[in-house]
Amino acid sequence: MRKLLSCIVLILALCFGVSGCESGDCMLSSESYCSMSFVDAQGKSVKLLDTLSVLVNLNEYDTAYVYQCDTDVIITSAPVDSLSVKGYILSLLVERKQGVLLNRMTGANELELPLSFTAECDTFFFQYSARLSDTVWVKHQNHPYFSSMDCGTVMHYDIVGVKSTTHLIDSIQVVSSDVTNISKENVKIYFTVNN
Amino acid sequence: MSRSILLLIISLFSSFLPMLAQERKTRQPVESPQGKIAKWLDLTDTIPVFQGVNVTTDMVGPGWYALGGDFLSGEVALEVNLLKRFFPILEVGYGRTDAINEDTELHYKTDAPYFRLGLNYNMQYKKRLPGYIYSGLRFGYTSFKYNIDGPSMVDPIWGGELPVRFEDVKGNAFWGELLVGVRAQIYKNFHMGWSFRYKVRLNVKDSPNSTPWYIPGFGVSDNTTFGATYDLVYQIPWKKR
Repeated sequence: MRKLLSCIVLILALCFGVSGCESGDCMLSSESYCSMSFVDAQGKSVKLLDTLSVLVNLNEYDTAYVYQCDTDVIITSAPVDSLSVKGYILSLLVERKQGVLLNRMTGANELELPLSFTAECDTFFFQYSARLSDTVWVKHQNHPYFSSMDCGTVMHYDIVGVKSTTHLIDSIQVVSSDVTNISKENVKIYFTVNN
Repeated sequence: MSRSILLLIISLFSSFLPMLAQERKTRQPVESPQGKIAKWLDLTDTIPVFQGVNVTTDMVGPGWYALGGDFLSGEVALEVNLLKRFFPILEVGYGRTDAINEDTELHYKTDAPYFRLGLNYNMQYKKRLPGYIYSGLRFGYTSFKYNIDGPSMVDPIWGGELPVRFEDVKGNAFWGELLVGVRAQIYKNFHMGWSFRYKVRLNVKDSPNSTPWYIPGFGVSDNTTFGATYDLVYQIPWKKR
């Protein structure tokens, strides 16, 4: 009987021991970011000496009010009745809202950028200084993903292509195409490094 | 006759063992593998191998649902009593859920049959008691479809939103269970008992958009989980020779 009880206790201890290693908790991050690392031609990590700002054209739109009288043009974000009284002709300009994802970061050697839930190609403007900038395009497929009832849904992506202008960037390469809420390097950006 | 068949199967299964023994080239007298297995199986006993068939049903699944649980499962099992010691068993059940999470407002719905095949082992077979403690092993399988819907996903950075609605997503799961339990005779051919089960997920088919949350017969999908049954058992009358 003692042997039998020992056997049962052993099975139960094994059960609880193994289950103690498991976790039903949600992931720490419920957002998926495209992780980009900055490297030189040899693939070594580089830090940008300039400041880096990343701007995007959001999926939302702004309306601008354009008043024109002969060669005089005034653009406002809200209608101005007094200009119409003065003889200005009003036209509307619809343009995408611009957002700042990163503002004047110094010494950057990697980035985590959010991708759009609905668009299939996102455009990122990398601004190093007032005169120097690059544009990076990331083409992706979007997969809304149900992880569990408690943890909810999260967006996963599959990167199908990347390209960029070549002012400071030399080339760009996809390292891992799947973007999930488990952080890992997705894209390598090769910078032109001046000796 | 049935005892002879069992010994024959065991003999065939162990026929490769003498070859291995010869390779060792030991001069010590060696008991034949068939003899060892027969001794381990305690086949020197005089009772017939076939001891009857039991039909069991679990009460925890319906009971849990009646108490307000999200999951409903019902199952019946057929087990064969061999030597009052080994009980090969087939469990057939049906599991369903139609649950809404109040926090995430997600709705998950599925219903499907499941099967388990395994063996119970009477750990007190020598005592010839009307009740006994047993351990067991199961392998379970189910193939199912599930629906998920919930509030749209709102893009916090770029703007815009995406509806969450996945319908008739196909999935299947294969898992193992280790269990311990007790059985006690209540009245004549009626027995009752419970089992405590440790379940290990062996393989689950995910879809590109989801991982099944509830798996019929297994429970809420995690790498491991626990389960319990409270069994009503009917021993089908069988004329002993």
